[in-house]
Amino acid sequence: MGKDTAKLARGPLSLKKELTFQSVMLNYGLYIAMLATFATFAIINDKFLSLNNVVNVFEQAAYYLVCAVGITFVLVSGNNDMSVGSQIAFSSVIATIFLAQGGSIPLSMGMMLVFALVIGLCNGLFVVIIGLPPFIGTIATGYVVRGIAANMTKQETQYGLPAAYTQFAWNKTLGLSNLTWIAIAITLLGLYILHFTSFGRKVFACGGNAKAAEVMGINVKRVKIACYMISALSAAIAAMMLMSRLGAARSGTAETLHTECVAAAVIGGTSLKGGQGSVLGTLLGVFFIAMIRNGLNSQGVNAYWQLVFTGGITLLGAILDSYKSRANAAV
Amino acid sequence: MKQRMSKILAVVLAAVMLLALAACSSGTPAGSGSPDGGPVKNPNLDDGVNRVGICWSSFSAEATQILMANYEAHYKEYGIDEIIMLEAEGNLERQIDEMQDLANQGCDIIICNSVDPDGIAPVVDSIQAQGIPVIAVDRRISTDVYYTLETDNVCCGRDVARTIAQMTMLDEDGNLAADGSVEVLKCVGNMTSSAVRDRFSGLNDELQYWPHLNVVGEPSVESNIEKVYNAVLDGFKTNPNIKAIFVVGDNQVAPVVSALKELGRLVPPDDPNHVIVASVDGISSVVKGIQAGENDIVANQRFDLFCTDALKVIQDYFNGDTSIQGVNNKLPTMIVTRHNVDYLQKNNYLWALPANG
Amino acid sequence: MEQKEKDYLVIEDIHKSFYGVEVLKGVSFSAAAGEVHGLLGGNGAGKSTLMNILGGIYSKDSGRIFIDGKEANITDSKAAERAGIAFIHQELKLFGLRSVAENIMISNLPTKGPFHFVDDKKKNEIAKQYLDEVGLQVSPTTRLDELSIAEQQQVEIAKALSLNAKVLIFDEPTSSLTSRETNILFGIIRQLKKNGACIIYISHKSDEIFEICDKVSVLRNGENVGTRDTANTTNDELVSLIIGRKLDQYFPELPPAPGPEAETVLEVKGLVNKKLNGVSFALRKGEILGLFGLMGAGRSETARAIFGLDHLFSGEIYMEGSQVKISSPRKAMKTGISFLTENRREEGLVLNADIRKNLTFPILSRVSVPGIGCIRAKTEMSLVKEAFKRFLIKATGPEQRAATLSGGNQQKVVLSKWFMTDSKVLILDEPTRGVDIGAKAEIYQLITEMVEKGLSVILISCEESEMMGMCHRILVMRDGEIIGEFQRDETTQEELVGLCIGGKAV
Repeated sequence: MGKDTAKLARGPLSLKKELTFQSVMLNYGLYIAMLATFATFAIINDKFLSLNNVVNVFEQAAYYLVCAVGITFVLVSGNNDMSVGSQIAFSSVIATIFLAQGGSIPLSMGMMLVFALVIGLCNGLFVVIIGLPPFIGTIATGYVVRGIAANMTKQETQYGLPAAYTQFAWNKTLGLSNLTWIAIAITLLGLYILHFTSFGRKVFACGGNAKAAEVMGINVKRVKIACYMISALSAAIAAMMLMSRLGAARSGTAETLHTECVAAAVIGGTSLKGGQGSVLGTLLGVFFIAMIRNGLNSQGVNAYWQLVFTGGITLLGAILDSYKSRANAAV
Repeated sequence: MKQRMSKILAVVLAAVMLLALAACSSGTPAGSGSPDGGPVKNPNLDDGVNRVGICWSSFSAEATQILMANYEAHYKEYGIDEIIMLEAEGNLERQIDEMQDLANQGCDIIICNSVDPDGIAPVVDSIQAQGIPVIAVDRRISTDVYYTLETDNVCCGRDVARTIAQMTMLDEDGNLAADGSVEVLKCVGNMTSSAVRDRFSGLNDELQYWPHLNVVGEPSVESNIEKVYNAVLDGFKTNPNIKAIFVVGDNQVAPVVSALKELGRLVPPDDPNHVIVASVDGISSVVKGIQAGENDIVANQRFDLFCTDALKVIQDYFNGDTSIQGVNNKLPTMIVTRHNVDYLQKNNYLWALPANG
Repeated sequence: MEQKEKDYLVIEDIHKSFYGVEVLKGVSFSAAAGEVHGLLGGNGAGKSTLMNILGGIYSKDSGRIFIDGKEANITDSKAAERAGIAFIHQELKLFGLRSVAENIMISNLPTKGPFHFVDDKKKNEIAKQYLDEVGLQVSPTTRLDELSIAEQQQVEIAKALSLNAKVLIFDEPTSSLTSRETNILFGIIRQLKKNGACIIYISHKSDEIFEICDKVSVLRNGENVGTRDTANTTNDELVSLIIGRKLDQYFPELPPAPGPEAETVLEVKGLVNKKLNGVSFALRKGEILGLFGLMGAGRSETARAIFGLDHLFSGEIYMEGSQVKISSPRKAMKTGISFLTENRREEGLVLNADIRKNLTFPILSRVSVPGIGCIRAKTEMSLVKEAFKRFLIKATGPEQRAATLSGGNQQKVVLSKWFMTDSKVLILDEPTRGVDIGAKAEIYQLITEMVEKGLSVILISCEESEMMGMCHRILVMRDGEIIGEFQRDETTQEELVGLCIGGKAV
């Protein structure tokens, strides 16, 4: 085939010499929007980009990040997990009640992880084995789990965590809070598993083309269920982080958490169709949303407008994503 | 190249996990002060701007809205250049984040009305460890703060009880009322709030010194409007001679008045069948109700002082006077009845009804 | 070539670029009414782009199109429709859930009454007329997806007729048809020709071009490199025009056929499931065994059953003498069997992933650290580079997304992926479908090389010439059974086809 055809086949976005406005906007539009927003906030508020503030934002977003990394796995495998917020409510409530009655900390953590595995398996059962659409299957699990928590606590906030637990979030190591370190560790771990192991490859295959993955000998069902368990485990860890930070647990916690995590993943380049995504992208997405919230907060904007803003950014990311895939397919 | 990178990543990962584990046992606890043992210097003081942060639990109450308006109207008079006002809409998570944000955005001192006195303590400790003082207004915080400004709720309860006693001291003929002849219905509120507990503590203590008062019912209403309404109706079924009803917050006055209307007992104060309604807070509808004769006693919380007193303390701080540190200022409430309501309003003592309003 | 009358369709000097890459570099050709004009060319030569411009899906950058002497301005597919151009696509664009009549009449449904409800009776009547014109004997109310692909194609032709199309473009129409159905299609085309339509026939099958077309133009690299009368040219001349050089041999020389005394590497006995009625055969080591038959004869189903994709009711499979139970593709791969499916886009490639990932999906255990699963990048890269070299994959690099490769290169990626699994038996289902002639030759060469190294191959194909050219031994299937077995030199293409259609079993 001639040189021209090869160039054609490469796709318009990788024509290195071709820096048209179009290709720049498609590839980098989101980052440009990010920079523009940050610049605007920085002008209004000179402390916005201070090291202190940025580190602080990261700390506030730490438990979101852990959850979002877990969800990234599920999204890349071609599914969705709407139950993470409910899982956090459930496991934090149960663990707090247990600890308030004198249970040991390692035991409570073990309990939370075991519950997570069970709930992840249930999600896998509904969505992968029975074949329910992920939207329905995971919402159902979520309702059941949150309902149990609400019933147990009559929707009252649970207190009584031991001091060691609650102090953890407020202690710093090497200048960063402990929660930040945990988030970094989980992100690195997620990055490693998704992008550098054969399991991670399988996740991409299952999401990209499950039929082909099956033909190539990948156990698609097992991989997808494993992803649900990964997301459940990261929800459990996020729950531990939240308990430490708040010193309390509530069955109504984290109601919109799932949406924000998925938004962060989509902004970071994960496709809701599956087969595409990156943990680093999710990290950027979480960071972006957290910085925006911080900027809006400092101007006293109320929470409902913030939702509008986050929604707008997600839309932008999704639209750009769809244009990109159309442009690639047009060749 | 990728292989080397993954090796490096594995090492970094291991290092990070080790550090995290180490942090579990030996992190630097908050509030330890600077290495030389002296107080930590406030990092935000030297930026040339006197900035105050206000973090409130919720802006939904009428009292809060008026208080915020007051802060905004008066802060400049106290040498403050900028205020930032945030609310957490009742969400502890959000309030923790907002407190941190205020600290990071250059606030020299922060006023906090906590969603949860225990839950907010760690972040308050962390902020104070950086040298930024925190003032607690209207709700205590479960840790040492620079200054606490709240209502003396025990005293409040006592004052209300005493006022009820004095209003019912004489019977219809002008003689001292007989022992136990004045029946009182006490609607018990949400006892998890320390303010509520304090009010009842004062009320109950004072009640025992007045023999003519007799508490005939103590229904638990948890500040639920419907429960209050039903409690009053039920109370009158068993005790048709109730002379006084106490509710712990002004939001419960409206259902009491409706219930009395339903029973046909909403009559002017000079009518012998009039039932005394006593409450705490001082919102505009209740004060107007006193003027109209529907309810009788309200212990007016000094939201006006919550503004000016706090601002004064802040002004002193900026001028280098930190002698107020550690003080818990409990403000007494002001008893308002139909005998003094117009006078108080005229002289601007009522935050809910300013003189020209 | 003298033109007695002005040609009905004239395309003059069309240029088209995408994102700065010039795809059509000034293509001109013309076709008369009542003429079937073939369009040949490798993938990427520009055939589809040119036809998409005619059909209004893309707009040309420059050049002119004349229909019946008047210049046509084709801005979108509606304009193309108005100009009388109809496009029968390779992937049929019909509504499976709606009836035949609705599909035909969809652009101009007859209505009745002031509220313009659809007049079903009239709709079915008009549709029946067109169905009769193409000779399709089905009721107009039949749901479209209940028809076979060939019948659906006829519906699409009927739809074109209903729109009074005078120019009909057929894009690879026989790719999903069997020989018998192709003959029916040719009958329809000849009828249309007689009625004065101008037909453009895009195909890579040169035997079809010779059979049905009056003229043929060859596109290469966005240019028309030659128009010939089919009566006056040869296959070799066309092939050399397409590739741009002379090809001596299309099919490579096969390694010698293993005789009956050679070791049997795979044997199946009595395979029965929904589509199979007891299939038994044996594959020798180093042999290329062909499975031939019409669509639905059970060839792909046999392969899928052996590979564990479809469930077997009964039957035995033996690998190298010992019986194996194959319940899933993974088990099949473990016993040494690999399977290249007939639909690379649905089951062969993860389109969004790059070539490197696609190549290593089946061999992940080989490129990763056992136990931890960490991918060894160096090992992977060297395998990938070798694949590129050996299998002549033309791409910008291992990072190119599979979706942007040409059909032939995509097929090569899938092939090399399976070749690299080092299996003992490789089942290939239509390995050269949708692949241009140059790549086809390369693929045949690759298969032969692998067989020389000891691989045993089962080759499933619809093309008799491919069977005859590439297989040592050919099995003919019909209705889920094997009805004939031939050595390559013992039979002819005609005999194979004849057996499929209805000859006596041997």
